[in-house]
Amino acid sequence: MARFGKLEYDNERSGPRSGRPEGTQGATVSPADQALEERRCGHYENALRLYSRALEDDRSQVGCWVGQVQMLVQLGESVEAEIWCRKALELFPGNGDLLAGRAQAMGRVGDVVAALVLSDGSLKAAGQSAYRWQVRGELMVMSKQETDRHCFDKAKQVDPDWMVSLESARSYLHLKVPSRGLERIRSAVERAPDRYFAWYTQGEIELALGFESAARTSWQRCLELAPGHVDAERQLLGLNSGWSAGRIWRRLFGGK
Amino acid sequence: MAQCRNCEFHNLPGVVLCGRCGASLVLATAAIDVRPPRASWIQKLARRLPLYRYWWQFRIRSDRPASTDSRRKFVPFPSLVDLMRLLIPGWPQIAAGQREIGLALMLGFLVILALSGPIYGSWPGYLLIATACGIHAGGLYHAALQTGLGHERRRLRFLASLVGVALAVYVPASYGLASLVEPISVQLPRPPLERGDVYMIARRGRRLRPGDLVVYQIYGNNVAVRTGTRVELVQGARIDRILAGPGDRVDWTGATLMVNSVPCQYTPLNATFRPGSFALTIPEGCYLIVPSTERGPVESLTVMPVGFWQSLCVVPEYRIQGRVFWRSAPLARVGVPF
Repeated sequence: MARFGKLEYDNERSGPRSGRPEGTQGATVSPADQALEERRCGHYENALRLYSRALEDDRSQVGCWVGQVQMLVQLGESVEAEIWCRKALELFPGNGDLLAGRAQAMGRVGDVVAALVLSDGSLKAAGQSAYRWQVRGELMVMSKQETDRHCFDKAKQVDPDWMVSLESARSYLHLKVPSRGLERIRSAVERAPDRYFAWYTQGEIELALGFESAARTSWQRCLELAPGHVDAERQLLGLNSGWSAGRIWRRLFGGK
Repeated sequence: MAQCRNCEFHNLPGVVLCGRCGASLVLATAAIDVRPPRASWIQKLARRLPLYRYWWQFRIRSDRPASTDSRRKFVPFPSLVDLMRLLIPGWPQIAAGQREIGLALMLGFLVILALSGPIYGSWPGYLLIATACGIHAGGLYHAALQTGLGHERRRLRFLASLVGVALAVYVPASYGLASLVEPISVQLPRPPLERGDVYMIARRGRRLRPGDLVVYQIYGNNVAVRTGTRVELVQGARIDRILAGPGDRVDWTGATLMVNSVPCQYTPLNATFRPGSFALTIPEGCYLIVPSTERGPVESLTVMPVGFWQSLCVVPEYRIQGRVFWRSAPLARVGVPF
């Protein structure tokens, strides 16, 4: 049997997987990098904690302040995100990403007018990032302007990472325009087919569009990549159960 | 050289604040709380409610100076004037410059409502009223569509305006109308009343006088009428004419009814009805109303004693529900009855 000893097996198949790359599970990775990895897995709460930990070490890391704001927004705490962003902007005046974060938070609480002004400021600020264009695209959707696609494309151009496409898709999902989010999430899934969070988000978007069988497939794929993924299991359970009030509501009136 | 982490400007050594952006250069070790504020689960739950979002929009709008409010269409909370306009169909459209749509809605509503008036109480009348309400609701939906809001907010705004208009206009209007007039439909044929007739009664208005057609109550313990082998209790609401008022001396011992020794100029609703002989004085606060539309044979009533007639035909004012002034059904006989 020695000749089989050097065969390469997919090690991850042998045991339960967390869905995270192995390199990130080491202890040598900085909290900021860990936070980024948690964010890529959709663990926004963990990511927020890790960003805070990174800031405890060094408060001058602008990216961590921006990350905190982004996580708060993703966790649905836009009011707090806006407050926190104001504080961060006192420390880093005129920072483009923080301005974009504040614009996103204000947009999500409903003050689109002020958010557009802040977004203008973020784009005028020095440097550029995908996040500023993502926020711009989100605000374009909120203000019923047709240029959202160009903004998200621009974000993808600035940073071709799959995470940009995924967050664009999540923005569309949040704004209840899942049809436009579908192409973004498909692009993310194509680029990172081994990331369960991309599959999970794809399932969410497909369900919002009413493609139940496609959503089931996406969540099953998510569970294959990350067995025990609680949200995917819950969603699948909801799909497989005979009926639910939410499902009847969706059938009658549409929407998420 | 100390490089700013914010703008990457190279500052001179020993400088505390960045010369370009003003950010602190000694921030790395500064004593600043780095844990962001968090929302409680109750706050999160509340924020999912549409009412909270509307309240938040209101707060944002009230905080903002009017001069910077150049994109008002994004703010979904309507002003008080906008709310007032919703109460009248077509007014929001006219105010928004869509004059044709607004006038069509307003005129359509008024015409249909006017058409429903004479036949109020009958099913075609209710159908017309429902159509008028539908036109108003359509106007509200159109107004919600014009806000340029998202689908969900539009739907919420429409529902909120619908409930608001119902509470502000239709509920008080229906209560007010019910306190003034009331439709009464005839369930059993009592000649000359026919089954399915709908009569409108005025609950308020001028004082009652002889000759008025009224709806009044006969209480069940008054009399039992024998029809063959069956005993019927004379009770419930009846429609008939007032023949004499309070203080009048009534004498029906002869062929005709004499009121104060003068032949009465009014007849009961069923003119062929002839009660038994009686003579009495109508007490204060009472009226003489003969239940002439009773279904039982007239003969069975004629044998009754005087005391019976007094209890049956002398009706206290509180038992009179109102004056009949209009017949709204059937459509072929709409008009002033009898």
